[in-house]
Amino acid sequence: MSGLTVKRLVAGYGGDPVLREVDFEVPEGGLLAVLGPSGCGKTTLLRVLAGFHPVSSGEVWLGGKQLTAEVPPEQRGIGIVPQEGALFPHLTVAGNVGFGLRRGDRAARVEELLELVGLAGFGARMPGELSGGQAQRVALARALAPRPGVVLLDEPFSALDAGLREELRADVRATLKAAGATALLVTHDQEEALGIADHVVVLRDGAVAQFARPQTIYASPADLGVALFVGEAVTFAGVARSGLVSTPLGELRTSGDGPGTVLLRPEQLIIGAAGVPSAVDDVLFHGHDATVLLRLADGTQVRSRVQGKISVRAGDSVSVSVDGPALFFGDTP
Amino acid sequence: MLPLAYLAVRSFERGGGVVWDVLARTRTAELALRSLSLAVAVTAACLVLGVLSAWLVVRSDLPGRRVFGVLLVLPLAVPSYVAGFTWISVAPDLTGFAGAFVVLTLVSYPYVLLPVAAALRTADPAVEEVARSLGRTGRQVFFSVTLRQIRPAALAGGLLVALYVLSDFGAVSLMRYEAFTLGIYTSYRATFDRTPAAVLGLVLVVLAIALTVGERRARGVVAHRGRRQPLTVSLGRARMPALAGAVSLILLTLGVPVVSLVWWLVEGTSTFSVTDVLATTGNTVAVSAFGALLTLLLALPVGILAARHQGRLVRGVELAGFAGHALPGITVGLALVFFGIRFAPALYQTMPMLAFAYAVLFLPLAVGAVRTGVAHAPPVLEEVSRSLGHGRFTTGLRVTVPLAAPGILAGTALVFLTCAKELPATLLLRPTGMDTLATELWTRTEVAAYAAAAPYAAVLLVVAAIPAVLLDRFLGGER
Amino acid sequence: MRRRARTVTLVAALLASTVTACSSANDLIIYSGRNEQLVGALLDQLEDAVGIDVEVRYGGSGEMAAQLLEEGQGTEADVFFSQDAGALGAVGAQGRLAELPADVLGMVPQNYQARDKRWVATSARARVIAYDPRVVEESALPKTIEEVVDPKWKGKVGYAPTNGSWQAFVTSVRVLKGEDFAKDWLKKFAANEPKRFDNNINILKAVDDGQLPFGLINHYYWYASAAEKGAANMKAKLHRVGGGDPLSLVNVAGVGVIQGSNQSEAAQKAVRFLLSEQAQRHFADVTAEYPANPGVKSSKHQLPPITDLQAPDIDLSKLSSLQETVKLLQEAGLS
Repeated sequence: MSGLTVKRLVAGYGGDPVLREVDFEVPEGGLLAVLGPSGCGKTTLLRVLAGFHPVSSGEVWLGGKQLTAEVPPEQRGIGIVPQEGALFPHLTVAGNVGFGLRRGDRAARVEELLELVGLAGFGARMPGELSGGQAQRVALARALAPRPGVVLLDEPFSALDAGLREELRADVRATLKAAGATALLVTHDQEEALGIADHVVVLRDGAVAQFARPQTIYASPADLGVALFVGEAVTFAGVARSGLVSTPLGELRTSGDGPGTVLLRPEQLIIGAAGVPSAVDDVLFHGHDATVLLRLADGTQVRSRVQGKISVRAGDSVSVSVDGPALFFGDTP
Repeated sequence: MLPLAYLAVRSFERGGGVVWDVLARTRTAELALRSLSLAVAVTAACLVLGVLSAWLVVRSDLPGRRVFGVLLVLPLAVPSYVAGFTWISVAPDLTGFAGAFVVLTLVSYPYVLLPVAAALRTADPAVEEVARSLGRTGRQVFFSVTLRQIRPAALAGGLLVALYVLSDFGAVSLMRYEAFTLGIYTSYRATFDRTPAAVLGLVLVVLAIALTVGERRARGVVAHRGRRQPLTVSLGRARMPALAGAVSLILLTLGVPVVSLVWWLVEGTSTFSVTDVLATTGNTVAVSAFGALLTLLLALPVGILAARHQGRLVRGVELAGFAGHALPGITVGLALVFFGIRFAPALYQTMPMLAFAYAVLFLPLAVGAVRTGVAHAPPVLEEVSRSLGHGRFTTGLRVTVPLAAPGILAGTALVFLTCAKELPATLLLRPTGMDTLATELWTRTEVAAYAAAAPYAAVLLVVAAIPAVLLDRFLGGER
Repeated sequence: MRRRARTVTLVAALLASTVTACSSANDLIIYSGRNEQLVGALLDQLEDAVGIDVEVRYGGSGEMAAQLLEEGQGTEADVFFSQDAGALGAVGAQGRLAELPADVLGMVPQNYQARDKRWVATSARARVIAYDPRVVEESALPKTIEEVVDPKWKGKVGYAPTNGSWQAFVTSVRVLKGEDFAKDWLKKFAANEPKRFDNNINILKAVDDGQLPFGLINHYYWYASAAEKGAANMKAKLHRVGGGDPLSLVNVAGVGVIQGSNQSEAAQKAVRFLLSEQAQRHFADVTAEYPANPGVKSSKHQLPPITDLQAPDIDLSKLSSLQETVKLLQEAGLS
């Protein structure tokens, strides 16, 4: 196992490149999420890394070895977990997991991996007899079996329903960590990216918009676009001056100077006794928390995320205050 | 490629003038037109019959559809000359265009039925469900959705039919329809001049290439397979007419030859030996199996490449294969005589050479089946295999081939039964002294020893029925 | 793994079977355009006559001629036994047949062998008129080709347009009398509303059943039928026109030795065998053909000797320009 380094990577299909000077690295044993909307170049990136698509320029290094065009997919030591698993329909679960293994230690390793993904005893089943989540686990076991230098996961949870997705996400992370695997996962789901990875690359129009830890991405996005993409936000136009900015929610602490956009996360809006008056438009209940839609005095609607017991209803008059500093992004001239 | 090279050598050995003389005969154009019109008519009829019968077998609740699935494929095993003979004895007035049309349609519609049935079995039923939910009636769905899903398969089958009609000599000569192959055979049989025959062969190649390119333009994209069983459509009041239709088709295609065979056996005075029939059957099975395996080996790389890449080289190879399919067996046979005796004298008139001739003749049957099969297998699985450390070759062997297995098996079975009934190339290239069912059948029908011929024809039907049953098994409901 | 082993075994078995099927260069190899059903039993007796193993390859005469020409020097064939003279002529014209020794040629009348001595006829078949003596007397039948198209025979003549012998007959009309005559004759023949039949057998049957006054057929069909029913029970009779008229055209089956054969001695023995009393009687008895060796008589059929046939004087290997014939027949609406 070893780290993956990508330097100034450019690739495309003729015409404008799809990947433009992409840089990032994944340390050995690390888990990197590549986050971006559809069409941002995620899939191309995976195909380039796996060796199915040619590089126009730039370098890919895995464990101190450069993966040039001459290294075909089968010699790269890169495992892939495609969308929806893509198990070989003509092989059993054990046949799938053992597909990349040599004959000698095959059976033992297959058992080991099925245990690792929590499917011990499923070896004789056919892929058609598995649920979506089980199929994904088998696909992961299959990719991990030959001990690849890095595992690439392509939107591995997109076809699963919400509850299962969260559970599997935690399991996959635990499995990868237990296996000591270096992994790269692409997704368009920010919650997934921030929730599973050690580091996140935000990919936008084929270029890296930000490469940082999940907390950093969320708390200190590189720009307004990243900030809006990685989570829900409440925004106002405003002018910052000496650490303060004026908004319909009052004077807020912030950084920056001059005209720009003020950005708050919904959980920063606290409904309570203090603050500016507002009316409750609606309450969207999520189970573990809820979003309260508030109408401020000037007519703008903002969202507040409320944990625990919800004590307000539509039509109530409440006060709302802001917890912590606001993010501020100056207008680019 | 070999037949094309041979035709070029033979055509131009006496200079371009001779070539021009042959081409400039009005009769050449006339024959070409006659062959083309026959090919168009037969192909159209086969498309209708093939699509309808495939739909009945796969998608309807026709009683006994599994049995029909086998019986409707069997006519492939009837050599066109046998079908011709039997039709003449049943309906002596059916000659010329009509006769050739009827006989060729009835023996070649399974070329459409097979790929269409396979496509119907693997098509995604969700698409039809969506169409129904959007307010289309069952019939509208058939025309707007189902037909579109099976179009590539139907066209591929139609192309095989058209090429087969162009290359056929047995049926057209018996039905006294003067087709292009008549010019070729007359040249060999009556004037003993190989140059005009070669020039005419080249014309057939051009026609075949035009048809193949046309089919490729119209083919469209093959849909990936769905995950569920196809829907079964209730025929309702159409059940009895559909059943009657299927039964009468089988009576026409199989009933006529079988009744004639029985008649020959009962009426005839000539005799046959059971041990000879058995020995000949063994030869036929061995050489056809050999031919089918060799054809498959050659077709796999071409078919896989054709499905996955659109390179010029691949297209060229595929095209050359299809051109060979439009040539009569005698032309391909002579081409291999020409090359075999010069470059592989040790193999000349041996089983491997004969198997190779079959491969040249019938490669398109296998390539088409492999290509369709592979196109239905998702490419992502091949990528997974590569990422797990298997090279292109191993991946092809362990992933692509098993996934395309139904198509590949269908193609192999098709080649097998076509080899079993092949005559002209077999006569030229078989090991001296080795008889096949087709050659024994020919020997006897040529001298009107019909009773002695009947058992060979019957065994040929049975031998061909085995792969037909297998075809149905592998393409059938038991997935 | 087991499956792979099975495949390997199968392929090996197939390859092994090919080796055993290989014919040896020490055998005498005969390419026979004559049908196995007609001559197989006879050729089986060849091994005794030539003293070495004999392998026979059967096919169509025209296709075999093309094959021999393609094979050229590389051929394994030693003898070409053909159903018709045209195929022998084509192979001989390319220098692929060797000249036959004088004693062999001496066994056969001169007009039944190649002028370049490269092949000899082994048996002959003649065009005849099968007629119904209940309807028409033999003396009233046509004596020349011109009389066949006399309007008095309107609707009374049977013919089989797809039969190769009919086409060879028309070719002989063209060769003997010229293209213009042939064209004119066919026009008149068509205008006379002849009855068309699928084959010679059905013509003979119609004559025998009293449904047709007379028809143009090959002689051996009558003998085959007579052998089955008894000659006395045949209502239909044969009329031999003779006089060198195309109506009495004779075509032959024949044999030649391949040029450069490494078994030429055995090959010549094979040719002598085919002209021997044993073989000639076989042809006369089994197929009712005229033996090419005039000294041999059928033990089964009442056949006149070949020398009495008064056939037209025509180079038999020229009976092959069929394309023009087919075209002519089409123009006359007789195809």
